[in-house]
Parts: sequence; structure tokens; C-alpha cells
Amino acid sequence: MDQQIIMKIDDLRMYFNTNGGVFGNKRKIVHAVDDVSLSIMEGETIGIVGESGCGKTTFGRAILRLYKPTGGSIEFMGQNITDMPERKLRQLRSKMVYVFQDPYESLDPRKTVGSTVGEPLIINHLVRNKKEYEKRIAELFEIVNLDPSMANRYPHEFSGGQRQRVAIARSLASDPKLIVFDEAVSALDVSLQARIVNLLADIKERLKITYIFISHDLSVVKHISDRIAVFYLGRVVELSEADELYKNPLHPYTKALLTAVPIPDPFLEDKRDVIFMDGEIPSPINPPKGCPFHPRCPFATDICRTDAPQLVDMGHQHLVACYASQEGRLPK
Amino acid sequence: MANRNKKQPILHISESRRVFKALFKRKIAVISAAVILLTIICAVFAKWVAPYDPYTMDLTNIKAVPSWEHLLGTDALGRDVLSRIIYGSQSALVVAIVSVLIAAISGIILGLLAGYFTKVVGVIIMRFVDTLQSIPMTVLALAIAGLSGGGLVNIVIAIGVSLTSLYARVMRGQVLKVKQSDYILAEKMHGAGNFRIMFLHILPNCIPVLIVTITMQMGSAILMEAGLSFLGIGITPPTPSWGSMVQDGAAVLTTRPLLTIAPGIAIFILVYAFNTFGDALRDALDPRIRNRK
Ligand SMILES: Nc1ncnc2c1ncn2[C@@H]1O[C@H](COP(=O)(O)OP(=O)(O)OP(=O)(O)O)[C@@H](O)[C@H]1O
Ligand SMILES: [Mg+2]
Repeated sequence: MDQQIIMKIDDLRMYFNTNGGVFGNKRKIVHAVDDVSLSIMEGETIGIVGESGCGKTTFGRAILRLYKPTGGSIEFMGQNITDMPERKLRQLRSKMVYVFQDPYESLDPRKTVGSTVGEPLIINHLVRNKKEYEKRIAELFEIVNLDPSMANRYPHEFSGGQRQRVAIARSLASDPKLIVFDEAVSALDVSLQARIVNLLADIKERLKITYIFISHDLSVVKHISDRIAVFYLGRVVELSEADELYKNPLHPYTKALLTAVPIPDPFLEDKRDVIFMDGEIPSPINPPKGCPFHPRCPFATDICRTDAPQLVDMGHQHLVACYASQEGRLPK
Repeated sequence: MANRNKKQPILHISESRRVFKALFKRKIAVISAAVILLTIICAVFAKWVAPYDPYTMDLTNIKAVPSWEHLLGTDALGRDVLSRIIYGSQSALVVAIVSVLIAAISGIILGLLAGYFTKVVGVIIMRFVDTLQSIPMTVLALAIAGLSGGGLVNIVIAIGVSLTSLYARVMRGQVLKVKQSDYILAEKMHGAGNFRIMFLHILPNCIPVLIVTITMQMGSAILMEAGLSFLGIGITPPTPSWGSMVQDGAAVLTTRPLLTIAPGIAIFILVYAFNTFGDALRDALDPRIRNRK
């Protein structure tokens, strides 16, 4: 397959300044995303997984330039958007969109859901008259399995799942090339999760869009992703094809995450190695030196405490950033 | 879903129609709107509504008690109280509506800009607002009176300017809050311009909080006018004004209470009507409580 790169992210860093201390006199820097490089192929679905607070949302927003990155570069459809001024960026915004984590917060409470879905149509001058506008909104509602007659209602009249579908319909309005779904299904119950994930897979099939699918839940990401990037404390620690990652996790953190995912087969369940993580996820304020995972890692050695490992291809496009794994010191 | 009528228009009802419908479903809104409308009619057609000329003095018939000839009696100069109240509604309405609208519109725009562009523009605006706020209203009214003479315009500008800073402040606070919402970030994410974000999304989400303040201040503006008129820098004497009627009547409160009570009740009714209308309007603007009884 000779796929095209739709987005190329190099050494992306996103730091936040916060005021520590009661009187806000101690400035602290949150390393929300640290040195992330990732090339996203046109038409693929890439899953981003990791624990709460590891920088998934920040990453998703930074690559769409909802934030101004602290460092690194982002290239989208051949254009460097890292420092692109907002006015110029607006031309590209219809091509890369983001679906927010919280469907209760992302819809304007004083606008009907129909006009919310139609907003990108107007902003990007995609319809010529009212008739076209309404027709397109009805189409978008049908794509996400919502009755178009609900377009006249307000967000508070909808359930979480319906709101999420409204948000998805809005994201599709401007015919984007790339959509970042930030925990698109995490707020929903399991049966609805499956339905929305299938719906998204279906839409992708038809409309040929590239997805970045963010979730803290590996079992959700598994179904939809072609490749998966595992985040830990703002860094990518493992990157691989989805099946390969599940069959053969290389990073101790990924192994630990996978042991948290139940396997339906009790025989396999018994056979797998269980890795327990010690302690809490460290704070992204003053992250540990060396490998970010070393304070919790049972295999950490001296080098892990001083030098951060780089992603190395271990074959089959399976990349891992772990000295122990790269040196073959991990139990199989 | 398959046999759904495809021709059915989906976005037909406009937002303003919904607000109107919800507003006039509330009895209290209809009553207060009627009171305000009635006052406006009295003010506009005072010449025909009032039984007497409000300036004609009848020194042979001063401080008369109510009778069929003078329904609310006469004042210390023998002028018909009812006619003066009817004419007084003119300045009351102008002061309440015009001065508060001047303040609200300029304050809201200043606050919107200051809250949205927090850097240079915001700092400059807030310095300006601080300066405005530091000038006492009476001093401002005196200064304007010195420049352009007393009268209604003087009062409207003085009250309008001195209320502006309040709106600017409240509005800025609201904007700072609303600006943080995901739905505003969503607008930016879809490529909306600043103008669209500010006026179509931030403004509608901030205004309702301000509506109650606006209508409450329509009431207080009438009272401020009374104060300024009493100091002699407001509406000049023969022109009837409810505020100065209350002040004048206070001198003979014990013997002729009606001279104070009658304009007082007029103020009360108008102020109350503004407040209840404002409450109902705020509810009607909010889709979440619009259709609640
Ligand atoms: N605007 C901000 N200012 C300061 N710190 C921030 C900001 N946004 C995020 N952070 C910090 O950056 C880190 C990463 O946050 P982020 O929201 O990206 O995590 P996440 O992986 O999306 O978590 P979750 O799964 O809970 O949504 C957190 O420690 C968070 O406190
Ligand atoms: Mg998040």
C-alpha cells in the first residue's frame, strides 16, 4: 500500500503554565504533550490510548491548532500549520475537525441542534440557499441515525448519546478529511458504545475520512483502529498495528493496560502474564527524568532513570520506547 | 423512519417567534407589557388624555382634595395632579428607557470587547470604564448641565453614562466565563470568525443574565431622575416629573398625603411592570425553561 501522509507531527510539545501554590506565586509547567512524532496516513484510523491525564485531549486539540504548540511541527495536507496565523488557518478548518469529549458541553444551549449542525455549512459557505441548507442538515441527521424532525429541538431535550450523534453530525457537515474523536463513546453505556462505534466505522467506509480515535479504553479502540499509539505522560511509548499490539504488546505499560482488559476465554486469561503497576501515575508537572514510566516499572534499570528511550522499530512496524523491551529483557 | 414525510420543513420556526410565543403565554408578561404600553400611549397622547393643561395654575384652588373636577386633587400651585402625572410619564419613560438603553448597549459592547480581546483592547477598555465609574453621577450631571444646560437630555446622558460601567463589568465577567465553554471552542474549531463567535454565540449566552439588571435599573433610573431634579440639575421646574412631584409633595405629606402617594404609585406601577416583564423575557429567552409553566 502506498498511502499518503495526511498529517505529519514532529516532536510536538505542548506545555501549560499553571500557578502553583495558594498565592499563585510558584509558576509550574505542565508537560501535557512531550516530543510526540506521528505520521497519520490518509484513510486510516489511529487509536490513541492511555490513562486519564496522559495528554490525549491536549494532543488532539494541539494537532488541530486549537492550542498554540510549545514546540515541534505539524503538517496537514502538505502545509505547515504550526505557526499559521488564525486567519489563514480558518481556510483549513473545514478539513480537520474535532469531536469533543463532553457532549453536554459542546453544543450551544441556546441554539437548536439543527442550527448547530448547520453552523459549519454557513461558516464555510457550503450552501447557497435555505433550501439547500435544510436539505443538507436533514441528510446529516440521517447519517447519524437521528430523525431530521428533531432538528428544531434544543440540546437539553436530548440524551447523552443523541447529543454525541448531533456533535458527530456537525463534524461531518464540512466534508472533513480528518476527524479527531475525543472519547466519543466514553460517556455512553456499553450497548450504545458499540452502536456508535459501528456507526463511525460505517461512515468512514462511505466517506473515506481519516480518524484519530482517542479513548482511555483499549477494548473500544481495538475494534475501530488500524494502528494504535499508547500514550504515557504525554509521550508515545508504543505504536503498532492494532492486532499486533494486542497479540504481542512490547511495552510493560501496554502489557499492564491489557491485563486490565478482560479476555473472554478463561484458558487464555490464565495463560497471560500479569504485570502489575506500582503506584500512581506521576504528575506531568515536573515529570520524572529518563523514561516517564520508570517509577512504576518492575524492569527499570539505571539507564531508564537517566535517559528517555526513543521509539525503535522492532519489526512489522511495531515501535516501542523501552530499553528493557528493546534489549529483550522482558518476559515473553 | 422510512415513511417520514420528506417535504416537512425542518427549521421553520424562527428563534424570535419562539420567544414571542413563550413570552405571551405568560399572563404576567402580558399584563406588564400592557401596563408599559398603556403608559407609552398616555405619554404620546398626553394632550388628549389629560383633562387639564399641566402648567395652568389656579391659585384660588390650591391643594384641593379629590373631586369630580380634579380626580386626584390639585397641588400647591393649584395645578391638576392627574394631568401632571399623565404628562410626567413622558419624562419617566424617556429617562427609564433611553438612559438605560444607552447604558446597556454601550456597556454590553464594551464588556463584550473587553472580555473577548483580553489583551490590549480589554485593558484599555477597562481603564476607561474604571475612569467612568470614579466620576460621581451628580458631578457628571453638573458638568453636562454646565456645558449644555439642564433638562431631560442632561439627565439621560448623566444616568446613561454612570450606569455604563456596571454593564461593562457584568458583561465582561459573563464573557470570560462563556468564552471558556466547549461550544465556543467548537465554533473556533469549525473556522468561525471573531465577529460570528462574539455576536451570535457569546452574546446570546450572556444577555439573559443582564436582562434582569436592565429592567431593574429602568426602575432606579426614574428614582435617580427624581434625585437630580431635586438638586436642580434635572428636569427644570414647571415641566412635570414624577420624581419632583414626590419631592414637592413631601413638604405637605401629613396634611395632603395624596400629593406624594399618587406619583409614588405611578412610579411603583411602572417600575414593577418593567421588572416583571424583564423576568418573563429572561425565562422566554432560555430554551431550557421557556416552556415550563
Ligand atoms: N488548559 C490547561 N491548562 C493547564 N493544564 C492543562 C490544561 N489542559 C490540560 N492540562 C493538563 O495537562 C494534562 C493532560 O490533560 P488532558 O486533558 O490532555 O488529559 P487526557 O488524557 O485527555 O485525560 P482524560 O482521559 O481524563 O480526558 C493534565 O495533567 C491536565 O491537568
Ligand atoms: Mg481527555
